[in-house]
Amino acid sequence: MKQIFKNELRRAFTGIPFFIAIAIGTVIAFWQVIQYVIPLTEFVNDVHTYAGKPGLFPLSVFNKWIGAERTGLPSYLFFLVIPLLASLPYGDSYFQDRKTGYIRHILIRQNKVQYYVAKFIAVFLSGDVVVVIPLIINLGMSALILPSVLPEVSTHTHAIYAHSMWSSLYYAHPYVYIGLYLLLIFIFSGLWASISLSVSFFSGNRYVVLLFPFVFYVFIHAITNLLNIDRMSPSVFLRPSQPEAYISFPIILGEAVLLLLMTGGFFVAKGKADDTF
Amino acid sequence: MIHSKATVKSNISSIIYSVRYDFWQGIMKRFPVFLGIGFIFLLANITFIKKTAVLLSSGNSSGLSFADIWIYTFRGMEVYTPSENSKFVIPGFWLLLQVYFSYLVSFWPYTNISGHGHQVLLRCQSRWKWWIGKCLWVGMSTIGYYLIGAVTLLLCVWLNGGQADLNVHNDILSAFQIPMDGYTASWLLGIFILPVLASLTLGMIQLVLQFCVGPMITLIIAVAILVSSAFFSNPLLIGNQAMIWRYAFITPHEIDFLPSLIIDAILIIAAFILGGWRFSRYDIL
Repeated sequence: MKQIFKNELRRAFTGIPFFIAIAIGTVIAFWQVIQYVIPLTEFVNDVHTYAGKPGLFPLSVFNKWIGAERTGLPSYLFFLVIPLLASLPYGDSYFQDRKTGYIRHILIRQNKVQYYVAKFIAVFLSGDVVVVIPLIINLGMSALILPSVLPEVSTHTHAIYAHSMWSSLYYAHPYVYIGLYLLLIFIFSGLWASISLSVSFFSGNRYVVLLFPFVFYVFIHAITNLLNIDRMSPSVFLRPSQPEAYISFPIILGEAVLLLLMTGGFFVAKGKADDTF
Repeated sequence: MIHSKATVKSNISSIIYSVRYDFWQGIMKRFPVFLGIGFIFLLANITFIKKTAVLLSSGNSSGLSFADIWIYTFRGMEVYTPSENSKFVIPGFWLLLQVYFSYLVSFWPYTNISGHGHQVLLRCQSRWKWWIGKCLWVGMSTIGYYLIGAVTLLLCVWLNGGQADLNVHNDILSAFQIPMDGYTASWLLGIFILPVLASLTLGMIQLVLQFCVGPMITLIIAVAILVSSAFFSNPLLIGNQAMIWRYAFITPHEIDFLPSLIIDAILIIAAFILGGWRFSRYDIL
């Protein structure tokens, strides 16, 4: 198990698509910093100059990092293309293994279930990492430029309200809130990447395998929009700024479990049952 | 003279062969993907169908036409003005309609040339002829997409007791907060042509990009163009042309028919030439 797991991780994390996906995410992260964070340095300086004047409260990293930005183009784009970024590094690997016959060489030497579990974990982790690294870079850059002043409800400059999920945590320990949200994004990015694995059983085209998660993601966004339940769309609840009210953690958990069953559960079960040779 | 006539005939027959091949392999054999279009257009109009049925049955409307449902489908969103109090949200179904089209044209030529498209290229005897075939495939896919969409919308109109005409009913559209007061008949052509042309232009840009950066990054670029179009109102960002809400008769000084037409024509011609040039140097083996 250890050997196949190491092998799959090495393939996932050293491929060119992995670095391309990180590069695309990082470009968007830098774009957000240049357009929305750097211009605020002047405002931060003003706050220092006018210290003691009432009514002036500094905008902080918690207002302006890519996850908190509600009105900007880069943040919207980043959270929209998450499934594309996540599936790019290794989403098509099972499809390629089958097409090239590589899977046969592996399964002669390895247990079938171990191969499928290792494949799922590698796709899951590669999808996570390419999405979360640009977010961490953006958060770090924003924290270098803007102060980490504890959010103050009365300033009305923060996106999180009383009815928002984990709102008390946000106002008491904002970095813990961001950490939890990054964990949520981490889990969902991996799950969206793993959708490609399930699609590999049904499609004969590599790009259908890679692009399907994104089309499905936009489809869910449209359906929830139609039914006026936008808060249930991953494109909405994955944004730490929580653009919709009443985002509920149990619903997010339910969607994660459903996705896990649709991807990991289905992939391992179907892979085990299918005839490889 | 006889020789040149034979050459022209041979060239035309090669292109016709390529077009026929692309039609069967790139459209007919991918029919499940094209069937999805009808489903998406139907879903996009559920709210419209439900609300207009109530309006028509209660006698609060002068009628329902094909033009009404078309305008509703491609209404898009108002010009976005960034401010701390206005979050940026793109209407779900407008995005899905555009993304689905982008998905439809995002990879087939690229995967085809790695497979039995080789044989077609040999039969065409020229990379430019093969390229012309693929450009025409984008055109056919665009027409197919909007044709299936239009037939679905027509069915919705008929089932709702409407007419298949092109009269715009202000009372129906104002129920969906689409202000049509500035609408004149001179805009009729624009309403139907511009969304189709915008898709054709985006499809051509994607066709070129596939052979430069691959289908995945091409789709990311296409999505970036669409999202930027929603964010900035500018005819150069071609997604704006697929948003009727931003046409000059609703939002003054925004998208006008003739400038948009010129922009699309320039982009399509540039994509055709640049793509042909790129493909003639493309390493196939």
